[in-house]
Amino acid sequence: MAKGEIAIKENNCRGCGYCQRFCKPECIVMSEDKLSSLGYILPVVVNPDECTACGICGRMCPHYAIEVYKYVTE
Amino acid sequence: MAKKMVTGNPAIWIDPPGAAMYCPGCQHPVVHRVIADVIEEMGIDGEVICMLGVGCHAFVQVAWNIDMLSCAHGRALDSGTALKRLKPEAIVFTVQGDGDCIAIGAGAFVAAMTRAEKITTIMYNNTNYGTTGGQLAPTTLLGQKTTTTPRGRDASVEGYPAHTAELAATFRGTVYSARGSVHTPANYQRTKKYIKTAFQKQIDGAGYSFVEVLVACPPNWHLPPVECLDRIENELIVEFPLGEFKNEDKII
Repeated sequence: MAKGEIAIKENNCRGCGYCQRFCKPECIVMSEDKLSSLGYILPVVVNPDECTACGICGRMCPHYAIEVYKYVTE
Repeated sequence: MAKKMVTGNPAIWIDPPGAAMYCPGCQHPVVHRVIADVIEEMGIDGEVICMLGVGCHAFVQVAWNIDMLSCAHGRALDSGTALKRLKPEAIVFTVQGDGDCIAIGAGAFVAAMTRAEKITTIMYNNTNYGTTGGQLAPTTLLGQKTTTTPRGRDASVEGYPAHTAELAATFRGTVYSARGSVHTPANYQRTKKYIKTAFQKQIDGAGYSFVEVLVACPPNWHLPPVECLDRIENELIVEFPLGEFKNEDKII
């Protein structure tokens, strides 16, 4: 059960791969053929159910290309 | 189900076109985020004034929605001194690179510590002059190839790397000196604590506070971004150990 979700801003991404390195549940991997409009390799969310909404991918992203949302019950 | 944002743009970050103009894998914006988070958490965004040097770090001038001044190369601490004396209630901090702080601005840096100015300096150390194409900086490691040392830095010709945080700790006017890095999430949190402490020392009127942060520079290190993080872990931290070098409550 996913605890949150990840949104990737593709125009900001520079394809450095830090998000893949720091995602412990391995939710994010760098794609092999998906490119941004500037030609950088984009990350894709492959295991959305494993996301714990820790926010580390977004914090370590140098280009502010990842937004992480946590599900909260009201 | 409601959603709460965990990570997004910092509160003081305005998203101008080309805000993410840094090279792929450059860690300068990560440190910008740490500083922005500290300012947001301490609730001082109306009181801080940022003095920018010249270098890659200074691109933040189009993106931070706080009072800022772009200073002459290496002279951020001189301009900061004037501002702090005219406006003592302001929280003045300088953002400088290693070339700006310890090479071109070394005189201003040493003089500010000698005078015990109540200013905070955050120095980004990427071991070269990133903006101009990766020339030798005082912090370049021995053996590191740069455009001006194509065979690697040779101690008999170019000397040894400068240890800025250790140097700052030797001055009586400095009350806080630390070195952090942002190459792992744990170090990110530690660096955040260092920067928060440095700001707090200034708010308490203790004296000069200094934080150095190691950052990756993939284009000028000629490495893929992820391998740059390994280089920080295996090479930079060996030369530049992390931690607090001085932490005093007042000048002694």
